[in-house]
Amino acid sequence: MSRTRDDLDRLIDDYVSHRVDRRGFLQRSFALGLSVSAAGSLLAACGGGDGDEGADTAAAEKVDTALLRLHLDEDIENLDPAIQPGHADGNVASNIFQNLVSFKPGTYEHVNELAETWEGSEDGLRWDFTLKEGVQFHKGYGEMTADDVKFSFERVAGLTKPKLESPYASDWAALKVVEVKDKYSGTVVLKEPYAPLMTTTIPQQAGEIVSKKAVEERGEKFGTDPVGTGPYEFVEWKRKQRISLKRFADNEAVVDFAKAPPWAAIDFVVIGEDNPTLIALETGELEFAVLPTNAIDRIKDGGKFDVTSKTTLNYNWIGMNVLHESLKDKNVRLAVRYGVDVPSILEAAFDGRWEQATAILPPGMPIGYWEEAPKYERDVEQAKQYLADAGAEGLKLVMSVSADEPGAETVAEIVQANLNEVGFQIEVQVQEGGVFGQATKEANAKKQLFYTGFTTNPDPSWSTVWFTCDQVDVWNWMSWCNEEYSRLDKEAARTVVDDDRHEMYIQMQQIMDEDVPAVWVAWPTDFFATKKGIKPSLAPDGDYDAWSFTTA
Amino acid sequence: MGRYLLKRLAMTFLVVVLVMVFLSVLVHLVPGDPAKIILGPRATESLVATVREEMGLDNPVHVQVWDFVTGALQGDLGKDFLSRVPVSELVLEALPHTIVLAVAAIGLAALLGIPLGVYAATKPNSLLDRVTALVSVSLITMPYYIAGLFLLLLFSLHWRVFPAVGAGSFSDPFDYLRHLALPVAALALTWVGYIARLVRTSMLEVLGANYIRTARAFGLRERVVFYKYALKNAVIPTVAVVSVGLGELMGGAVFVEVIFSRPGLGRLAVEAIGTRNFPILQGTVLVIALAYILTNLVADLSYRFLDPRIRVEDTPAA
Repeated sequence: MSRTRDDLDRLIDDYVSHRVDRRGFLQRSFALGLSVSAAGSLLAACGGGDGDEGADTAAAEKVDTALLRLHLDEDIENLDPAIQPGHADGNVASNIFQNLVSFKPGTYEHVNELAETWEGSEDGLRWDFTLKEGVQFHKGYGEMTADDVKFSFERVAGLTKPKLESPYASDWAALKVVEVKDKYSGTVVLKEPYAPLMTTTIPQQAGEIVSKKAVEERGEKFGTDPVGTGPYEFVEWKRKQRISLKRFADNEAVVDFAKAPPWAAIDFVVIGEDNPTLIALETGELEFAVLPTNAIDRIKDGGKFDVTSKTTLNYNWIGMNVLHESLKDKNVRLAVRYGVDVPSILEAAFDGRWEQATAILPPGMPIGYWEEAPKYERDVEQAKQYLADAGAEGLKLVMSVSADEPGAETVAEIVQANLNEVGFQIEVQVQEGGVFGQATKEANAKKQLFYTGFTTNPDPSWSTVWFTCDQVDVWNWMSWCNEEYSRLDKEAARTVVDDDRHEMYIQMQQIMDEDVPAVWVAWPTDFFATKKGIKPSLAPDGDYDAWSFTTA
Repeated sequence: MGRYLLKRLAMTFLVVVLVMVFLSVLVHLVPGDPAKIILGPRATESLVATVREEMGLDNPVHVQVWDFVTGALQGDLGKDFLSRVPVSELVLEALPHTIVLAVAAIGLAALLGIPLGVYAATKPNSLLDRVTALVSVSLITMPYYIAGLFLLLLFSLHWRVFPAVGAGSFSDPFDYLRHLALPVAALALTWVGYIARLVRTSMLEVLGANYIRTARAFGLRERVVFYKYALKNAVIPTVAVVSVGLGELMGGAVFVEVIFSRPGLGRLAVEAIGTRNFPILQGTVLVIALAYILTNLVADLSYRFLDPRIRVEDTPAA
């Protein structure tokens, strides 16, 4: 009798803390010998009999929670947080690894994930943490401790021996050391203040905690058989087909800011092309996929999926190489600015579904959005005047685009038509992605006009850094160098007061606007198809965490 | 025969080595720094340098060629820098899927194409022959990509008979066959038409031969004349074509593997091109090239085995 009472108490506790849903509650109630009416009364007493929760569960009953299948447009390569080369790796790994502090799903609000407490000093140089106790690593690798935190951060920073060359070392460039006080507490010590620490380092892949023991035991194989503390553990990678994860039973204690994941297993299905992806959605082989803009209506009309959208933090633009002989004169660049019809580009290339950009940073960026940025409209007469002022009527320019960039050819054709009307002679070159994307001095010197898009993270520094003077022969394809812009970029990354940073980034965008190295085109929007009955968990920038998808 | 075999094997070895040399030079023919493209913009210069060193890109070209050729001859195709998995492991994992796909496709094409060709040859210029010709030419001109998409739309989306993506698992043969059906059909359709036209032409040529006329004069039944005497000779060029076709289909599998999201050599190569993952690209292209070379060798040898006249012609005059 006493055991049944204990079981019942545990069941109520599980239900109240959302570890079991209504269905699970009733099933376990019956298993404990309760009648239907008694279980129903108990459920109502726990607040689950009526209202939204009940409605949610009714819908949930229509969704099979045994397996959630999500589309990946490319295969993973390496899930190790210190390496993760592509977005696919990140989408999978975010279910396997956790951070000390993370973003609450769907927001940029900080929540403690593996940390019980996390507190920074006023100068931003020391960050004390205490860990939640009892957090287990997958596959029997034991309890997570402060030693694992030290190892995880210092490894990415290149401070461990042997030194690891991580592509994310720059996220931890300011790290001096992680001091371990005891099993569950320590301090992250920085050499200098680093503003993106709490936006893109601690809550993202560079801040994911790995099992030191597992990394040392598995070596290079850790990337394809990873061990974390996340809500899902890695099961299998069938290359070019799927990556399978299963729910980690010991994880429930650490997801107290979110519901326990309902999915027993998650599969990421690798499909590289748009058409097969859409067919797989329509044949019921996927529950979630990112949609190309031209498929939105088709999927909506099918009635089986909800289509949601998020404007990303990414930015697409028409760049002008200011060091090129033809584009040195600012009047020529102004002629391009006023000659190009950006709304028509968005309509033709992206079905009018992308938001027109007015500067680098979009409204969704937590810091640095320039609200008053001018939105230039096409003015052919003014453009002709600028071209005449430059004495460059009939100027021949090459506009290059990458064949891999969605909609790029259409963009180039419209720009060509627009600018030819102004008095330019535009030749369009569609280049293979690798050729277009060479980040070398020689290749950059050949660029004239180009259209491209850069992806970024939820910190403005990752958007603005590519246009500094240091990047001129690398990723700054406009070869635009402004010392004040570059100084502000460095200073903003060291400024920990958000309001001050905000002003700096606005000032940088104003400087750029004044020099006219670019025509801003779009902050791309991502569209997602989710099977009805499932509620996706989408970050403000369109990133998603499969583990926090719920039944609607 | 022994001397011929040795000569052919020596030629084959030479071609294989030349392919390896070409593949190792390939890295330098394509614009763009592979290390930078693989690692992306956030990589530090020291990391780029490490990758360049690990991929051997800092070595002189002749050293890179030597390293690749000697490594490949020993079965070492290098390592994928990103996943840290040996390329030979990636290739061996993908290869069975492509072989199954190609062999099944050529088998299906032969199974349908040969009877179709024979039947058309038995009634030349009849309505059936004309319809067969029309169908055959239509199939020959249909690209794998289009055939694949049509099959997907019809059999996966509309009728829901076969799954749209993936390859299933070898451990579940029924599921594997279900996943295999549409990709095989997409690859085989072109070859059904091609083989049918080839067999028809060969049959018509053979049916005009003296020994067939003699057989008929002896009063043998038409069925015996067709299937026992005519087809045996008419099928010789088809056997050679089918052997070469197997290599061709390994290349054609690229499109089908991409459309049906199947694992395989083709998909491995296509994705490696996009990311400039040269070790994987070199490994997969080398294996596809080997398949061409070996199927050509087998075709040559089988041709000589099936057609005694070739053996006689090759015998040195006494």
